Amino acid sequence: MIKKGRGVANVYYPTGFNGGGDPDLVSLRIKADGTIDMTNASCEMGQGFKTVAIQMAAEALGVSEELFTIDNSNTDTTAFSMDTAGSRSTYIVGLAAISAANNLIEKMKEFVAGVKGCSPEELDYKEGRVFKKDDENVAMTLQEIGTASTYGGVFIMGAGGFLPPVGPPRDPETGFTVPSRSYAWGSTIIDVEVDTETGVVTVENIYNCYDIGTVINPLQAEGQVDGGNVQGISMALFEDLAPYFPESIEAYAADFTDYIIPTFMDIPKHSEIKFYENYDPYGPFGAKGCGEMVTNTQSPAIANAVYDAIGVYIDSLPITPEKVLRALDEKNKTN
Amino acid sequence: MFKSVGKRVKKYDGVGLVTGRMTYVSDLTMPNMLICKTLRSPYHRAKLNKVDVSEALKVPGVYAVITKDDVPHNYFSMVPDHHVLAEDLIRYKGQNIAAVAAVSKEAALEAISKIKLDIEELPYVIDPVEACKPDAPKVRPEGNLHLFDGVSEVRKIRKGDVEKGFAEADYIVEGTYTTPCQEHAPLETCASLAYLDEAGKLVIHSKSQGLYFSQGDLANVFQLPLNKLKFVGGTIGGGFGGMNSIHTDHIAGLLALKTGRPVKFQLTREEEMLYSTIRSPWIFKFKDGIKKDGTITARKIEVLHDCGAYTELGLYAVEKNANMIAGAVKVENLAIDSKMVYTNKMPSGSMRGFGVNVGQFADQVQIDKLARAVGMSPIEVRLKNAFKENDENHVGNKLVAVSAIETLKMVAEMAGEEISPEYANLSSK
Repeated sequence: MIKKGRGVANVYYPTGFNGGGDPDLVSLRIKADGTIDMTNASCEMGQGFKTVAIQMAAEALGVSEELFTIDNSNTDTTAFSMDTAGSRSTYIVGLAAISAANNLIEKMKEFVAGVKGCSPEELDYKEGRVFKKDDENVAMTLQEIGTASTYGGVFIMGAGGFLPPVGPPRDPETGFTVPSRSYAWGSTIIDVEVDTETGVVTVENIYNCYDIGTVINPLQAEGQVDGGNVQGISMALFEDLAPYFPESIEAYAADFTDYIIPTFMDIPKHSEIKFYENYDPYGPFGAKGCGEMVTNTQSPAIANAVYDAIGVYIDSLPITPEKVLRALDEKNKTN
Repeated sequence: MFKSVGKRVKKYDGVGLVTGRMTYVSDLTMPNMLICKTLRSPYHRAKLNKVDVSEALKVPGVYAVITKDDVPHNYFSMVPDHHVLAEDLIRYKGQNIAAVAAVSKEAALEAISKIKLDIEELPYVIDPVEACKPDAPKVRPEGNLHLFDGVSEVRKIRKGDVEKGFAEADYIVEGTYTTPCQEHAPLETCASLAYLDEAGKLVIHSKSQGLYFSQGDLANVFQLPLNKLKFVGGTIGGGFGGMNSIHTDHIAGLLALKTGRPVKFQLTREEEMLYSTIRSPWIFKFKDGIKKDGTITARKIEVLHDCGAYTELGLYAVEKNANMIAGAVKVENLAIDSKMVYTNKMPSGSMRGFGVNVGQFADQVQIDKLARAVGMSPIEVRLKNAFKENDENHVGNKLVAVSAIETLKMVAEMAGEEISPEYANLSSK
């Protein structure tokens, strides 16, 4: 018999390394035609780091993202990144990018002041233009600055960084400390079908509402959630490298024929994503971390939905057909 | 209002990635490049007396065979207790003992087969509960339980008085939860290509997800200043946390230094699955008190993390787990005891959500049981106890931009769930 059930989960997740103290640096170098090379050594592993890093630098300078290239490729010439982990890159690189952009603006003002024979304090910057506060016609564009500085023998590179404050040492008695200043929040509702003959659990509908603060790129954030759903379902229903653990650690799978992870056929029929954009006072443009939290709500929501469907909790991941059938047997015995 | 932020900007490198224009480390070759293979421990725990590489060195096409004696500083990882190549006590099946660089995979594998080990299999422990017992085989010479702050087997969080909280409760609900060994399953297996450049700098094309993280770690192993060690990479075929741990960069680098030739070391899928870091097992025991009206009065939580054979990122995961495990709900009376135990299995790495998502599975199923115990809807019991703006979380951390209630209400609306008027008007503010 097919039984239907619904489950919910509600979590929060810290942004950045536990306890802070994980800095990143960014450089923004203006080229002869006014385009900009950004560097930061965060890793692009499919999550879309390069795109959001450029968007935040573009926002900080008030120019188009089309002006940018980004280099994250090496430890000789690319600005330092602590690591790509802990849902930290958007948040910390974003804040470092804002710092680098402000530095670039200051350096451009100094350069333009020299060209125009005024002091940097008399100048303002807006949307790719440095101009005199009292006469906007006295101005240089990014392109003009790039050409004049490069061929004028002046190196204009904005450099900046951000260090999340280091939390106090953890109190050994109470455990009190500050893991992070910023937290993302999220809630998920999942509908499942449980086949009581085979024990197979199928995810039918997923509804996610996540607060990752300001969403820098909705297209990519939705992609993160889609990926989170798939990995969350995988953790809930499929993945176990050593099913006979703790009796044995011998892995039964050494390839993807035996180690089952979801394919497109396992993606739920219906998935809805909404972002509740609660502006974070510490984050870049109000953003919080996104990457990890969006894979955390699925496994408990599925376990709770299975209970709703068949009246038993499976407290041990993954929720395999074998565990479901054994739990149903046990329940029928006691009834 | 923002101009660029919030826009559905197309992925910067998206077209290039999906049309195969990206060159991954796995794709790289160089002239005169050697292939690396390693000899791994056949036993979960063993005493390694001697490694004889003399016959292996005679295999045609072999340029180098290295053991622990060839490593300038044989310790690496975030908590640097992991051995690059095995010392006297082997701690897990698949641990690297020796490495070969040869002109072909075939020559490298033949040389591996000619390495003679004087090795004694020892009793081992893989069950974290067994490993906590005083008479369990010692995974580490210093003992199986981690000592927090150098002194305590238990990492504590304490707030209020849990016994008072249980006395105030109408129902006590207990639950035990476990999570398994999990593989990261990236499309690209871990790979390195290491060589010396024209100035003698060691260059490593790496699959690391933290180039500087790995560089800082391995500068110690190679005993090189940072201007003599360059990591190249940054765009990789999937990480999910697995590439925060070093699996191939150290050995490829050592062999490049030894031979002066480019060395490629790429894990097979089997090696990646069986011998690299994993999301390793956890056990959570909850005892909660709740009143008839749905107020949670106390939570007592015991956590045991099975760290595997070396610390890797296990300790970090335990710290993060402890801070988050009591959930996004207010609890006046709280006691959390976390322990971390070493066992003879592959070490605990980071994996997306690590430390936290396993705990949130346990916490969120347990909260569901609380709702059932008092006959409330699972959504409403969460709304009733949810953190609000400026609340302190379970480690005294003041929370801002809080959205537990708002995301719950919004997801309920999306799914067509009715919320009773008593809870429908709640807000985090």
